[in-house]
Amino acid sequence: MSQATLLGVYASGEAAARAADAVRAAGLGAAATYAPAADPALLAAAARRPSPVRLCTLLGGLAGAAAGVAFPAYTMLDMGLVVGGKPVVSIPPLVIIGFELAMLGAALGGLAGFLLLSRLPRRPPAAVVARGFTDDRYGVLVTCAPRRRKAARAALEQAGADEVRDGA
Amino acid sequence: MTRERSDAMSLGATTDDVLRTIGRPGRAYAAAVAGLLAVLAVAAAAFARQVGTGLGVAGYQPPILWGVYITNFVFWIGITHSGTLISAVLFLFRARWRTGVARASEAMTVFAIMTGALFPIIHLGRPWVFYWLMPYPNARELWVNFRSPIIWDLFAIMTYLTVSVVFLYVGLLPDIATARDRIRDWRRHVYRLLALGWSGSDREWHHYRSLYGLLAALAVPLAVSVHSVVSWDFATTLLPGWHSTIFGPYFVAGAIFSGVAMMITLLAPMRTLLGLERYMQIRHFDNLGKLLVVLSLVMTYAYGMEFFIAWYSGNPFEQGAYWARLTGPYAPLTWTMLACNSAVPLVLIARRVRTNLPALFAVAILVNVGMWLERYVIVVSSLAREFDPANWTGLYDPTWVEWAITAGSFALFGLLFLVFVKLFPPIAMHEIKEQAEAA
Repeated sequence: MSQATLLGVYASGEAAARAADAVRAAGLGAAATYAPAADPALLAAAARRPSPVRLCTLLGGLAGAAAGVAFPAYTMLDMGLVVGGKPVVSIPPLVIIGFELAMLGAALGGLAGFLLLSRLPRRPPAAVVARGFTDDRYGVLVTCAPRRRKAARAALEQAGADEVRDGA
Repeated sequence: MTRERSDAMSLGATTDDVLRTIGRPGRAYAAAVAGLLAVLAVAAAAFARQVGTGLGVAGYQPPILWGVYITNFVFWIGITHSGTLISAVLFLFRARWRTGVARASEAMTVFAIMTGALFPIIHLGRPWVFYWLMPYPNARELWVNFRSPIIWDLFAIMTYLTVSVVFLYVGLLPDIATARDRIRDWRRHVYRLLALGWSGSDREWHHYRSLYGLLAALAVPLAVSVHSVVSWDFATTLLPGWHSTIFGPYFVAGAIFSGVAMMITLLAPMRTLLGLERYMQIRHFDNLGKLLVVLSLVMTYAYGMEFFIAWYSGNPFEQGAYWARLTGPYAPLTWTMLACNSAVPLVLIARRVRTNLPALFAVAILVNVGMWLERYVIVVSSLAREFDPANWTGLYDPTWVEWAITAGSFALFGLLFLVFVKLFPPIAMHEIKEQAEAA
């Protein structure tokens, strides 16, 4: 069965959070919120678990550190030259290159995790772009069963929506 | 008017104010770009001459085989330190005043690394084989020498450049989306591409906040490591004046000091020219002035320790090198450096000076001059007084080629910055909106 969508437009994050809370509490459907800035009320209303971006960063960092130690060590062994009286596999350079590549891997791992988890890049919903949610408005996009459309609309309006659009 | 309605209006006003700055450039902007391009053209001609003729057109003479190019390299890499580092540190400490200065500072970091990273290549006798620094399998079955600080430099600087670009881009992402939705000229295609489809959903913000905090946390130790690695180019040699355990923290402190000065140098005119007085307030410059004077005191301590350690070591070579800095042929530069870096910034103890933009700007310029001279004195005067007195011959005298390329580096940096502030929001709009919501 196809789902109905409704988009409520709000002038503040508090009102949008009230709307999202009301929709979720009444079990009317899924509510995604949109905001021009990270809004604590909206993020609290979404009640998400800690972001796995942290794990991606850690894994990227560990991979970078491993590469930063293993690769120079491999090249030193491969060449086998004694330079400046130092051991063939010298520890200080491995620490430095390992640290730098750990930082690089962590940053790139975190970025990749962010893009993957945020489902970017993609084409954003046209209605969302048109309503100024990156500018000065807040939005609540409700996806619900068609029979709950009326109740969802009422919940969005009751929270103080400037406008509620069907089929966004 | 309800609070909610006024919130939306103030958020919209922020967008209007900031996006107005990336509107059609005026004549002054065009003139500045043309002037910088002209300087850059002269620098390109000088570099072409150097490539065609060889490094002999530079003023090197043994034992001074590191000169202005390495000075510029260390100077520009130093400049990078305040942007990302200060932005990240202020973010981690939840200092709200960072919003006015963070974006431009992060951009400054990226452009300074791009400029600085050119100099080791310019300094090469055969710059077209710069890629030999990269560790890749080749026909001669050779690998790069990972024990060399030059290779550490390559990894440190490339990592710092990449992480700084990621930090800047991630910070820009929501604002690029705002520009995408508001701007209607040809640039909207660029913004659409760069915004990656950002819509401001709670899912995106949730992961975004996590990533930005992590990047800030990574940027701090990375920035500290990068200038420490640059200092080891010198400190791992045995040359008097370079061979010192103080060099890591000394270079990091100097880098932050010069970076703050460059931040003020860029932000003060930008505030006026782009009409950003509402977002870059005098209190922000007051805070930067406080940072500058504290860092000046740290630098004065470091200079004192350098000379003290040389004296206390009892090593005649070390003592001789430092005594020559104060009294030898490079003494005027040393004393000018000390005046610019240790004496002049003390006027910033007075709040009246810190909150007077022209005065603060003048101090920042002098600190820039002082920090460039510091790099020059470290690089050149130490080489001029190496172990063998038979080599203490004359002065290193940079040629017009070196000065032209040096001027070109400032022009390139300025040009990149000017292009950036006309293409991208120079103020973090979404952070200002976040603060407005929280207030």
